[in-house]
Amino acid sequence: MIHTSRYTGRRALFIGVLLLGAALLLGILALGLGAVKTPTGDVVQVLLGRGDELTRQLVLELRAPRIVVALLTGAMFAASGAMMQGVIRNPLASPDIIGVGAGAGLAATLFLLAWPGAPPGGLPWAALAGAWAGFALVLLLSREWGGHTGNALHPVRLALVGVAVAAALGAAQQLVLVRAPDGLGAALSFLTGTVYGADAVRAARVLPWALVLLPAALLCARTLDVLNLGEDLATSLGTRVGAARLFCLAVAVALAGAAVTGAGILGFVGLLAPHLARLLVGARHARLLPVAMLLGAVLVLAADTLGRALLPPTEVPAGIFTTLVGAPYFLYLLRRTR
Amino acid sequence: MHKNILVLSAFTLLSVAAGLTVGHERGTLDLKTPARRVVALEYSFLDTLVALGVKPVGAALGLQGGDRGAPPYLAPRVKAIPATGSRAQPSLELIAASRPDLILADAFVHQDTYPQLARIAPTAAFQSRRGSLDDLNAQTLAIGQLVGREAAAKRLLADQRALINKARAFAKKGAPSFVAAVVTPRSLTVHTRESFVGSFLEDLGRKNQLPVKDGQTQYEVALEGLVALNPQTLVLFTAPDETPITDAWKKNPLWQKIAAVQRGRVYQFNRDNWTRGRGPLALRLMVAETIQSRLLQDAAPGADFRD
Repeated sequence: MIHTSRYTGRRALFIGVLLLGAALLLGILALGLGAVKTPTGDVVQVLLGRGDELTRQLVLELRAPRIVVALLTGAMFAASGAMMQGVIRNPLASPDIIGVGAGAGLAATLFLLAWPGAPPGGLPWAALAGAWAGFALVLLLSREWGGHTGNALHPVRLALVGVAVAAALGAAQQLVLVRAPDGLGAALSFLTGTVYGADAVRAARVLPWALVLLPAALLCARTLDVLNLGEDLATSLGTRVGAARLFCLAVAVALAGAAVTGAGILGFVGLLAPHLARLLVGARHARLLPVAMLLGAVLVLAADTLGRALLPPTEVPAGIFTTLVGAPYFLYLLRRTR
Repeated sequence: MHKNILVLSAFTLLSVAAGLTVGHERGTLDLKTPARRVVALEYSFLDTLVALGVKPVGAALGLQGGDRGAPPYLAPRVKAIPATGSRAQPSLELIAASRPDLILADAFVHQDTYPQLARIAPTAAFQSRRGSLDDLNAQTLAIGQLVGREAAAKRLLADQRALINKARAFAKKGAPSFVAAVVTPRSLTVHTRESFVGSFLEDLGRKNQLPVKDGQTQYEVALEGLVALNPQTLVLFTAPDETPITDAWKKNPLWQKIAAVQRGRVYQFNRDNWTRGRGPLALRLMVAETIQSRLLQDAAPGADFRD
């Protein structure tokens, strides 16, 4: 590589270890923070398998699942965003901006409406289908018909169409909810982007997806690097561009869809984390992806912990913090992308 | 006959020895002993517990998520009870920390959090927010059983029945039907025969104009919808510290077309006392107000209840 002087593998490893440490530290901190004060000593006792029953309950049943869900969904949104930006070669691509989140939200609503007694494992599949539909709609609408071939997606155009489609899908969701029985709105409240109420069941629902999809994302790293060289060059390097692109997108969309069922639409995590990662370790996906995942995980966990610790017992949804940080950055990117 | 009584009392003894079983919206609850440490996640449960002489160890008295806190009539009596989050967002940690042996949750509002609540302590879910008067009365009895004060609960219900029967004597025979609605600065929600206030006013001897619509016991209408309903009597539940949307509607000529407005039969009640308490204490107050306001008599509203 030409620009190796700054972004070395060693540097990436160092940053990765640093982030891993930060996630671990933050996780332990989050275990000790909440509406009820738990002294550090007691938390350590619980982690060692001792401690009184109340602290065990607070730490292991109420806080630990939230931390797991926050870490997983953060990593998944970040990986999804990084892959989308790589495949579409567009800095503004990220799951919540290009309709994936809104599609998943609408599909989850329709699914619960049509099948109230559905087993808990069904929701991610519905969200996944919706994520695909939302994404396909945005891609279809932002393509320039005529003249250009294939990959001619203007970044800002994509973002604009994405925002419009997300608004339309959101409105459709509202429309469905107005006609829906009372309880459904409450059942979907977690879709607004919060980790409140995340329990072991929800963590178990997201975990298998994360265990399959996050490694799958890492396996795509090389393909993404090649795709990034442009269609012609990638083809000449022997990559079946269409198939490779489709596979990477499938993983990216699945990541976002599954993450939505865990914590709702956490605004801008999928945009922010990959960009920060690129600043830290450069654009090579083998480094970018794991660092982005760690950053996303830390970001969401920090947002949720802050939301829990700021004004107890009030819980500020994590999505509010990520959006507060992410939205200005998105605007900055829009201004820079001409 | 004697044998029957013997068998019956043997059963009663057995059931006492084996603890108590009470059905609720999410199943049945088996308690070995009556609950001593109760967390109430809805004001009606709080009202019922106070009326039964039980002091909860925690209650959803917080103001997070747009809750307005305990209704004014109840507030002075629940001051000493620790808040465990709000109704919309109960704090699972604070609930766990109050070490309850019973949690009373709303079957509608807390349907998502129910599994987590049930993991903290035995949790009974009742239709409070969307319950009718019959539902709420059944809950008074169920809560009485759960805290080992069934006799007191039965007494409360008997007193309430007697009070309502007395009030019915005031109700004018053949008075036209009413529309009852909760009014906030942004919306007007009509309460049908199956809603709590809607069914309560019917119980007192006035007829509710509105049946349940599409399974909804209460639903929003706009000014035009209200004019189309054209109620002969209009009962509005507003909050003293808010400007209800009806204040704006009154400037519209359509408002004057409503029969209740023309007849001078628009009554106004404090919605905090009426729609957020819904327990035995609230009901006593409400019965008194329906008479004072002269709603039951179908006479022009008294000064405190004019809108």
